[in-house]
Amino acid sequence: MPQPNTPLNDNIWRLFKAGDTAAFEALYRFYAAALLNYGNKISSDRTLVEDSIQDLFFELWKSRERTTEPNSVRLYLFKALRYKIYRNIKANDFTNAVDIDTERFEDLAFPSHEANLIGFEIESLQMENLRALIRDLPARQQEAINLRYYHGFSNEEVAAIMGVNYQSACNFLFAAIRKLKLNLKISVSSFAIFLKFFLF
Amino acid sequence: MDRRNFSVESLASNESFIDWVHQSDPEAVKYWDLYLASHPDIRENAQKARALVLNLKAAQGQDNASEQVDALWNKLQQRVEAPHKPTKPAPRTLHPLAILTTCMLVCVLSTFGVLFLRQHNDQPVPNYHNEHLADYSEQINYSEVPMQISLEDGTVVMLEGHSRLKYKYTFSKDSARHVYLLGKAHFDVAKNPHKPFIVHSNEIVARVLGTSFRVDSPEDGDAIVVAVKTGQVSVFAIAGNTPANHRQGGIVLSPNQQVAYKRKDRSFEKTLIESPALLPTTAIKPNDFHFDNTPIAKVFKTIESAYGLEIIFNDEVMKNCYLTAPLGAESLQDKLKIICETIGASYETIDAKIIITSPGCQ
Repeated sequence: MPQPNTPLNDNIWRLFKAGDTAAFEALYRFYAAALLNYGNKISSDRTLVEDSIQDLFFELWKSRERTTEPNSVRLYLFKALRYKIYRNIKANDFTNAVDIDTERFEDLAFPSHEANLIGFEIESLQMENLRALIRDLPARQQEAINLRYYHGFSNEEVAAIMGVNYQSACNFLFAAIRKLKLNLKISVSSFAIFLKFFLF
Repeated sequence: MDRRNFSVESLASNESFIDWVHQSDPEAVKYWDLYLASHPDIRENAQKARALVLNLKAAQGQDNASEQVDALWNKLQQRVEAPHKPTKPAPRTLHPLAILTTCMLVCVLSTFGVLFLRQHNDQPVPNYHNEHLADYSEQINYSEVPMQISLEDGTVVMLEGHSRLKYKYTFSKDSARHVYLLGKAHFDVAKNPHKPFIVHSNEIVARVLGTSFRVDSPEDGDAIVVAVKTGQVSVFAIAGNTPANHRQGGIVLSPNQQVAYKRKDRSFEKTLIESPALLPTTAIKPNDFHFDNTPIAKVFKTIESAYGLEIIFNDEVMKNCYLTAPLGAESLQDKLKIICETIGASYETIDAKIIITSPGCQ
């Protein structure tokens, strides 16, 4: 699980700078799973994602003596990984990830999912449907959703990682949510659970 | 936020609303709790928006990435490692007797119940590598012989071969002593009622105040075993690892008991350890087992308090049973065998308890 806002101990960074491989491993292990999750959301090429993460950390290690500790190591790594993946995509001569125009799909019907996709106790099959709906979103909306809802970055941080301004990040998120919501039906039974939630 | 803007989508993309759902910002939690309590008209939308936020998070969870993380680290390590490896202290072996004598004579009940079980099942099993890594150092025993690790608080860990332990050089700033284990180890925990000692190991968590116990937790394999020599230990499965509606409570282990966490059905099975020893705290001496026409209830009571276990038998049926047998230093199993043969009964061990079946005595 990502640990949003968990500050990385100063000590670890100092040890890492001093060349302590255990500290380096700790840094790597602290962020690797989250970076893999994010990388796999912005590229479907798993090898490319793995290589990019490996390069990212290797370069971090090589340049450790002249690297000052970023304010947020997590934000820094996400940003750097994104840059690396896009650069590697270009280098590999992949088709550049072009964002699909958000509005063009607005009136197109998504595959119909009758399931109660936003009920509380969502079945795995329904979860699969929700994943399919997310995959149907334009790439940048998917990315914003992943950063905001899974990794717990703030809108401002989402904007910083994606290299867009604050308003654009908000727009990506809002457009994505609106589109998802249009395709979801609400479970009535979940209302009872909701009321219980309020009694606490 | 404008009143007409309480649509599901504006709520679900509102920063402070998301913080409320994730309970990550106390201000937002206070604000939305109050707001929703006083505005029942938007509750339905808030409910839908909350569900959407939660499911969006759940939908993006990945399969256990730990293997991928490990594989990637191995590649990375090869590129990084060239000049020098960190020096590892030479493993020392301890005489078995020395281990015994260091066992703390502590019997503090740790009654930390289901607090440990997290409320939601929507999280994957955390990899111990990802937890609180700051300040932690790791000791890996690549050898076949056990390695002794003395922690700053006085706790002594015998880390067995091919096992690894993460721990802090000092726990002075922490409210608890957390360590992370992969593999096998024996712990002699220094007593400190203010700082529970918590072992995280794969899918389970064992919590103690001061005791001596053993954890056998292979990364793969059928079961994880925690065996207790002295003191009391509570063992829990990590939330997210138990199937919904089937949440397992914690198990409290007493001396001479062990629990196996079965990976297949994620269940706990409590049994006696293979060779139970006399409790270090007991006042009973070997010659107290010298029974001479002793009522059977008294015999069982002696054994119960000597080994700290429970013997279940039918008092009424066995009221005429008396035992004459010069028992002493035999193992628990041998004692039970002799007793049962003498009085024509049989015994079995169920759930770390000893059940005596007897037709009664004439």
